Order: sequence, then structure tokens, then C-alpha cells
Amino acid sequence: MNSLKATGSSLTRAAERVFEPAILFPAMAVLLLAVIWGSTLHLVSIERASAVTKAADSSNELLETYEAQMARSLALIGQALRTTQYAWELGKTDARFSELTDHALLPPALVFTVSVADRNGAVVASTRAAELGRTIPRPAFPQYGAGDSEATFVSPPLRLDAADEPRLIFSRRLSASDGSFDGIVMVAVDPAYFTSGYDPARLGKYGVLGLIDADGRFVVKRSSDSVTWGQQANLNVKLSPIEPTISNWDGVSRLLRRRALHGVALTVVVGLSAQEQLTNFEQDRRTLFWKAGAASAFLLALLAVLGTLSWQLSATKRRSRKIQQTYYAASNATLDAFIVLRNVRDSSGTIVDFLVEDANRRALVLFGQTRDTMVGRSLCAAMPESRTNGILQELQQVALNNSADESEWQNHNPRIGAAWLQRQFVAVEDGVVAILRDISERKRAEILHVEQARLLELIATGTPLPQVLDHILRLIDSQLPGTMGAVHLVSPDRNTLTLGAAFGLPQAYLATVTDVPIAEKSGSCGTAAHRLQTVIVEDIANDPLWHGYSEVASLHGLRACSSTPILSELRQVLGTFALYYRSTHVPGSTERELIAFATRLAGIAIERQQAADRIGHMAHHDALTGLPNRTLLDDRIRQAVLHAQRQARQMTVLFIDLDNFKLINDTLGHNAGDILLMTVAERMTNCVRSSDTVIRLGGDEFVIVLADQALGLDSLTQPIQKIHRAVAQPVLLAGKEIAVTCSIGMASYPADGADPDSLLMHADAAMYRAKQLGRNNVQHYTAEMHAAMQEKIQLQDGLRNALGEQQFFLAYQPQIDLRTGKFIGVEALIRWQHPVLGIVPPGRFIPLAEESALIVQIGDWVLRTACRQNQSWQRAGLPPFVVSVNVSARQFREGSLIASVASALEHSGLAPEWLELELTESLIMQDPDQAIAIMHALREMGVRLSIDDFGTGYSSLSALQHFPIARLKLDGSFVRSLGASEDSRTITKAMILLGHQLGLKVVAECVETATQREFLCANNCDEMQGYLFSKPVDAEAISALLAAHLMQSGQKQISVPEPH
Amino acid sequence: MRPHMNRPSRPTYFAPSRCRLFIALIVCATCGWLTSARADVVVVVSVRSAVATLKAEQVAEIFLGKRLAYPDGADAVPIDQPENSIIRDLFYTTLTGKTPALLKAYWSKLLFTGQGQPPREVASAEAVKKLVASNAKFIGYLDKDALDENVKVVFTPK
Repeated sequence: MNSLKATGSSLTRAAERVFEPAILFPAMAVLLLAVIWGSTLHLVSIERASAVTKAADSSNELLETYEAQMARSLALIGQALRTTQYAWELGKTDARFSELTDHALLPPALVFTVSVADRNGAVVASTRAAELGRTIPRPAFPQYGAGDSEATFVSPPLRLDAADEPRLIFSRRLSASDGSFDGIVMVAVDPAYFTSGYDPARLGKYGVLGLIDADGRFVVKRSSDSVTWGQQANLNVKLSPIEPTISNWDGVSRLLRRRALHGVALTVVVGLSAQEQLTNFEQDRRTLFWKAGAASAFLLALLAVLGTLSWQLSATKRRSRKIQQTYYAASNATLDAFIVLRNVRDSSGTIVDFLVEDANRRALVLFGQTRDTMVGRSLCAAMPESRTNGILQELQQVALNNSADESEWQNHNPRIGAAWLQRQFVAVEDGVVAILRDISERKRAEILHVEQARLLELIATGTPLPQVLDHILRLIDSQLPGTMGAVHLVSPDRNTLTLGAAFGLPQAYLATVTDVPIAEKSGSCGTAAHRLQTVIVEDIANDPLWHGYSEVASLHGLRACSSTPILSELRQVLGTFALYYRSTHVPGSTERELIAFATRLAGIAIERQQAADRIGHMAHHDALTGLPNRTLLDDRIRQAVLHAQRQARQMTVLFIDLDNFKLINDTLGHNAGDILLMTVAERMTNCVRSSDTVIRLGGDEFVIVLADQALGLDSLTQPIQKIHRAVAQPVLLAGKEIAVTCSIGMASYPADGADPDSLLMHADAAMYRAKQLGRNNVQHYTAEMHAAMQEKIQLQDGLRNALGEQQFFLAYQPQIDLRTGKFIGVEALIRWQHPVLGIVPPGRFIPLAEESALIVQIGDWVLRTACRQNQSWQRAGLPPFVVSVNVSARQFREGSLIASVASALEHSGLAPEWLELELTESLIMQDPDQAIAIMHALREMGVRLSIDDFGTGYSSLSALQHFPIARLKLDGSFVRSLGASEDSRTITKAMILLGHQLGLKVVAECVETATQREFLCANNCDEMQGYLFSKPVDAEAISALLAAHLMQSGQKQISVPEPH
Repeated sequence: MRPHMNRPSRPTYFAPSRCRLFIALIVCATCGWLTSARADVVVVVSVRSAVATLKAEQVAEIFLGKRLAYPDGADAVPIDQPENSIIRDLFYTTLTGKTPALLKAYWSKLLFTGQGQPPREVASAEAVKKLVASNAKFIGYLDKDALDENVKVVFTPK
């Protein structure tokens, strides 16, 4: 069976292979060639046979004809012989001849010569006169026997003499009356006569007619025009009736026939040339071969062309089959749906519908159809909705414009298994190919991406958390219609979950499940928050995790719940995201993806909320001390005032500033300062009630709002003292116990103001007053304080305009060499000419300027003015001297000093050695390293440096060694106190000594009395300045003073300190 | 008179075409000589004959055995002068353009194949005249000088 099958299939395969053009066409060619040549050869053989037969027939016919003609001629001759014999034997007279002739009894004399010879052979009578008397030679004149009288004898061809024509002589015996031989009667005929019937039309060029005698010789033979005789014919052999024989006499192949004649010993021979007879055949054969050859060539050419075409066709078919197979394989493997549509036109040629020619597997799945319901049907029949949803129209457009179209399409047809499709219509010949791709995944991802951006924006713009969570739930609902979901948040105590937002869930249910414990077996959410992993409960009614909750859930038709914990970045649980279902359910991949999306965003929102809460706290509280900051101040005062108003009570604002905090900060470092502030803040907080508020304004300024007090000052005493004492307690800073005092100003409602601004301002003024009063005390606000405060504000305002309005000017105080009393230089001192207040001393406005950046501009102005003035003095012809300028801490700190100095020198043209900058100890000690660098830079420029107010700070004396300075200026307080105590004098002496030991000159300030000068001189102080010699004066006064001084002392050159 | 036929070495009955021209020249010369030397040949029939004139073709056809009757349908029997007579050769060469040898070959073939007989030959011009005069069916040729009242000329070669 199997072998049969195998044979069958191999046969089929063989048959198929035969029909392969490569085999089919050559095979056909061979077959047809065989037919052509077979039939040609067959035809040739038939024709040959027919030609041979015809030739044989012709030969036979010729023989018959020739024999008949010979017979007639012989009969004629015989008649003539017998007639003559008769006539002769009757009378033996010549006259008989003429009688015979006259009666036309003899044959025509033109051909036949009838003669009679006697018994010796001499011609005695003849139809031709010339014959008479001639002798007939022996061969033609046999000795007739007595009994042979009836026989006719024929001679071989002979001539009687050289001039004679050849002749054949037919003779009969003449008998005398006694019967004896009496001579012969003979008829002489030209032998050619017997072949005169040769017809070239029938016998051709090589045919033969002839007579053979008994010896087998030709009596006569004619071939074409050639007549001969005498040859041996050699025709004794049996002649084939069909096959030609080669004639021995001329080598020509002939169809020969012969027949012996009656009554005479002659045989007629006819022959037709085989070649001539077969000429037509040969010609026909050649023609046939040519035709066959031509036909073969044509056939081969035709088959070659057909074969080539067929091969191409089959190659094309193979290719297209391969392409089709590839197409099917590809289209069935791809995720895209392919539908091949063929245009369906109405009678007017308009495309009215499409025929679904093909659809791949994916297309069938996508459209929920089978091959039978789709392929082979019209589009409108297979998908009727395409008429209404614009698809048909769009396809028509594409087919009409021969274009391609691509678009995305949201599907609402439940039969099509995709929410979003990307469709591509491509016009092909007489149709359209539709390629559809399910892009639901991508679309959802896109939507989620967009929504995520929107949600993140909501989160970033500080949208309240419940609103954000609600958005998230609504988004989930848009992707999973019919969602029931809830977000729970971890409560602050981290023990329970509270509802954050819900969607689609019955309110009654939500109301019953509040404060879900974070623990095992407390529903999906509680357990998920506890386990920190998703808890899927497929069937609430039968799950132990829901024990105790399942009744409520069932009551509201909730059957399944899947809850996922919302985790922070640090994997702390922030809440849960739960989806509820009305039937048993396990979330699919899409749902899981959406849940992951929702929990991620919810986590961000919750964390953002928590961060915002922290930021809010930080914004309203001081980071260092944890105290509320200025932002809360207004609110707290306002609340306290309101409360006091309502309750007819009092509230008080305390403005507290630490004394010398700046100094501590500068000398002991910022860390020490911070510790101090924290300590003080904590102490103050501990001193007050919880209803009171301690606020740090910034720096060392604090405000305490004391709320709900009894009216009157008495209620204040106790808390203020408590605060004051608490602050004053020593603090351990950098290993030292340091006591800080504070200055406190206070203002109360209702006595000193009703709004936060005025209460604060008044408390500030009181504090200012406390400072003025020598610090470390408490001042209650008074109206005077207000005035002082007003003045301060006035000055601050005025300062802003002072520079622009040129209200500043410089006064110069001369400096004198103590030993020689000579003038050595001036200190430039700023003065402010206030338009209302008159001259304002530097002590009043410089601290105010220091509080703002104005001090830098003012310092610059001083530098420039002093340099310019000094240069103009020099130009005026005064001997050069040094001008000293004070540098403020802020100028120094902000790094612009070097540039300012260089600029001032450059603009004025003053040589640097005539400028001295006075720096204070505290200024240097704030950042000694930087200060030394700046000082070295200034020294490099050639500017002199000195230390001002020496002895008031906490300078490390060893550090002084490294300062590139020329002079120390003793603080005025030392000079002023010289008269007060011995201690003061000792300290002053030590300081002068110290300066000298460091190789520095010592300048004393504020020398006002002769006593002071003498003490200083005695203790080797180098230089002095003060009212004793001159108060600060204007530039002209300096010129005049110097001129007078020069005149007085006869000094031509003022002394100049040696450059060091 | 017929030199070519006398050459025994030639086995051919007819001269090849090369010689034919030569023969023709000789014949023409001879004829020219004969014509100028001798009186003209005329074709005659009995005065009793209904035939008045004959055309050259008709005469030739009658003498070559191709025509057996006069144009009017009466039997026509030609009579030849003796072989080798000058008038006979003259007559045939003038009328048919055939030499005696060609004429012999012509008649040999007809005779052998049974298609005809050469005209009856009589012994002399007188015999011709006598025979023609005797019967209207006879037709003969004569020297113009030999005419008499019993025969009438029906054709005179030009």
C-alpha cells in the first residue's frame, strides 16, 4: 500500500517534472523532430518506390512500343521482300521494279532500298539505280540453303565500300524455277532508321534504344543523338524488373528491358537512365529535406521562444508563489491585522463597496470573525458598521486618490477586541490594503503618561492631597470603567488607616470602616499595610483576612478586594490603594499595571504632602532654635491682642537683644554664637507659659509675646525677671564660661498699642533705650522712646540721601610727634551735615550705616575724598604728610577694599605712602587669615596700615607679630582714664611697651590735657592727636595750621616716619 | 553535294550544332546559285482541281504529310520528283528549309513510328505532270518552264 502510494507520488512528481518547461520543451522538440524527419524519410522512401515503379513502368511501355514499331517495320520489310521475291520469281525482269514502285507496293525509297542480287552477290536490280552492279559482301549474303527460302536473314551493319552509308540488309532467298538458289532479294535500311523513334522527351539524354543480334552485339544503339553499333551488349544476364543495371558500354545505370523479335534474329533493347528517371524524385527529396529542415528550424525556434516564455512564466509564477507564501507567513505571524480589499464598483464605475479578498489570522481574531464570515464577503456585509463610522468613506477616498492614509482610531464597537487601533489604508491596484494594529497598550501608556504629567503638576502646584487622590481614582475609572476604589492613609500615630479618598464605593460602607488597624486579618488594606505587600482577596466572604469585616462588605455587595500598600521611597508605608469588585476576582495584568501606576503617584502625592507640611513648619520656624520665626510673629501678636480684647486682659511684647553677642560671635566663632543662641532660646521658652510665644527675629534678637495677662505692670515683673535671670546664667562656650546679658524693651496692649506693628516698634524702641542706657536692663516703652526711635528712623532715612546730596564732609585732626612736637599727619574724620539736625557725630550715624550696606559707599567716598585732599595739599606746596582713613568692618569684609583703595589712589594721583588705613582689632579678628592676606596686599601697594582702638578687643598678641602694620593707636578710653587710677596708667604703660617690643610706633588718641601728654611722653609714646593740639578741622584750616606751625618752628620739612 | 554525309568517320546522324551553321551556309549558297542558274519551282495541281491558290504553309504541310486535304476538304496527295533531282531539293529547301538529309530523317521517324508516309515518288517531271493532270487530288511541283495546259500553278515560291 505504502509502496503503491510512494510509486504514485513519485509518478506524480515525475509527471510534474515532465511538465517543467526545462524538460517539456526539449522533449517536445525531440518528439516533433522525430515526427517530421520520420515522416519525411517515409515519404522519401514512398516517393522513391513510386519513382522506381514509374520508371519500370515507363521502361516496359517503351519496350512494348519499340517492339511494336520494330514489328511493323519488319513486317513492312518482309512484305517488300516477299512482294519483290514474288514479282522477281515471276518474271525476273527489271521492269517489275518500276511496276511495283508505280503501284506503291514497295516501301518508300527514301528509306528502304529494295534490290535483287544474283547468286554471286552482284546487284542486278534495285529501286536505287546506284546499287546496280555492286556486290554484296559475304556477311550480308549467306549461302542460303535450299530449305531456308522462307526465312528472312538480317545482316550485321555493313558498308559496301568506304563511301557507302552503313546499312542493314534484310534478305530472302530467290529460287529458280527448279527450286535452286537464284540469288537474293534484299531491303537495305540505314540502321539509324530503327532508332529514329528515340524520343528525348521520354528517353532523356541517357536512355537507350537498340537492337541486338544473335551474337549479343548491337546492331544499332541510340542514346540521345548518338547512334552506334557493333558493341557487345553483354545483356545475357537476367534483368531485374525494378533495379537498374549498369550498362557495360557506357557505365550508365539504366532500367533495361529486352525482348526477342519474332521472325528475325534480333532482340529489342530499351533502357531508361535510372538517374534521369529519379531526377524528379531526387529533386522532390531535396525539396522535402529542405522543407523538413526549415520546419525543424522553425519548430526549434518556436519551441525555444515558447520554452523561454514558459520558463519565464513559470519563474514568475514561482516567484509570485514564493512572494505569496512569504506574504502569508509574514501576515499571519505579524501582530498587525491585514485585510485585502477589492474595489466593488457600480455600473457608473463609482466605488460603492469593497470585497474582502483576504484577511490574516490576526484580522479575524481582532474582528471576532471566522474566515467564512469575512473573506469573500463584501465589507458592508461583513462589517455593516463601516457604513456609518466613516471607514467606508475613508477607504473610498484612499482608493479614489490612489493614496495612503494613516490614523488612530478609538474603537467603540464591542465586537472589535481593541480599544485603540492604528489603521493604515494603502491603495493598491484596484483595491485597498488595510493594516490595523492594536495600539491600546500604547494609547493607555500615552494616556497614563499624560495623566501622570497632569497629576504630577497637580501635586507640584500643591493641590490638596484628597483632590489629587480623587483624580487618581477617577483616572483609574477611565481605564477600568466601573472601578470601586479607595485610598487609605496611615494615621499620624502609624497604627491605623484612615480614608484618604474613595470612588464608586457606597458611602455607608466607607462610614463603617474607619480607623482600620494596621495588622494581620484586618481586611485587605490593614493586612497589606502591615505586610508591606499586595493582598489579593478573591472572595471576601471566605477569606480569613476579612474575618469580622466580611458581613459589612457583603451587605454592600462587595465580593473581592485587592489592596496594595503605598510605600515611600524609604519603603515606609504611607497608605493603601484598594480596588473592590462585586464578584470574585483576581486583577489581570492591565489592572496590576494600573494599580502600580496609582500607588506610585499616590505615594508621590502623599510624600509631597508630608514634605510640604515639613517645609511649612520650617518656613514658620527658626531652623537653629526651633522657635517660630518672624512669619508667625504678626499672627501670634494679633491673636494675643484679640484674646486680650475679648477678655479685657493685657498682652505684652518683649523685644530682647543679647548684649555683646556680636563680639562673642566674632571672637569665639559662629559655633559658639549658635550654641549661645540655642541655649538662650531654650531658657526663654522654659520661662514662659505654653500660651506665650518665643520668636527669634534673627541674629540675637528675640521677641516674646506674653498673652493673657492681668492689666498693669505688676503682672510683668515676675516673668521678665525670670527671663532676664535665665539669660544671664553663664554658658559654656569654647571651653569658657561666659555670661551674656540682654537688653529688654517691652510694650503692652492696650497701653502702648493695639496692632502688631506699633507694639513691635514700641518694644524695639524700648530695647534701644535699654541699650543706650548701658545695656543689661529692661525698659518699658515711653513716649520719649518713641521720639528717640523717630530720630533713629529719621537718620536712617537721611543717610540714604546724604551721599547723593553731599551732606558728608571730612574733618582732619593733626597728629603730632610727641617728642619733637612736630606735625606728622592727619586723621580724616567723617562729618554729616544733616539739613535739619545739623552736624551729626559719627558715633550716631556710623552704626546705622553699618546696619545697611551704605557704609561701603560712605567708606569709598571717605577714601577718595581724603586722597584727593592730600594730593591737593601737596599740589598747594605743602610738604607731604600722611592722611589716615578709618576702614569699616563691612568694607573690609566684602572684599572691595583693595579695589577701592587702588581706585582712590589712581583718581587722586596720590602716592600710596601718603595714605594710611586704620583697621580695628575686631575687624581683623573676625577672619584673621583673610585679614592678613588683604593687609599684605595693601602693603604691597605701598599703603601704610595701623591698628585703631588698640586694647579694646580680644586680639591675640602673638598674631600682631604677623600683621604688616606700622602703628598702633591706643584707644581713647586708655588716655581718658589715665587720671582715674594707677591700674589704668600701668595698663597704658604696658601697652606702649608692648607696641615698641613689636617694633611698632604707638599713637595716643584723644589727648586733651598737658598732664596726659606728659605721662605719654614720659612713657615713650611716639605720637599723639587730640584737642590738646587741635580739634578736627577742615582742609583750609589744616593748610593754615600747617603754614603757621612751619613758621613757628622754622621747620622747612615736616618729619616723615621712616618707611619700614 | 552532301560532303558531310560522306564522311565515314562520323558516326553521328546529324551534324552537331556547330556544323549546322556551316551546312546552312553551303545550302544557301547552293540555293542562291540554283535559283539564279535555273528556272523557278512552281506548285501545280490539275486544271480540273477546284484549288486556285495555296499558301506556302499549306503546301509545306501537304508535302510533309501533316495535311491530307486541301482547304476545301478534298483529298490532297503530294507527288515527289525523283530523289536527288535538283528541282526536288530546290523545292524542299525553298519551302521547308530542310536539306535532303534532314528530310530523310524526318520521314524515317514518321515512317518508323507509323505516323506517315513520304509522298509518292515518280520517275520524272513529266510523270509528275501527267499524274497531276490525271487527278485533281494530286499536287506536285514543277519547273516553271515545264508547265502545260493540264496543270495549273497554285503556288509559286518567292
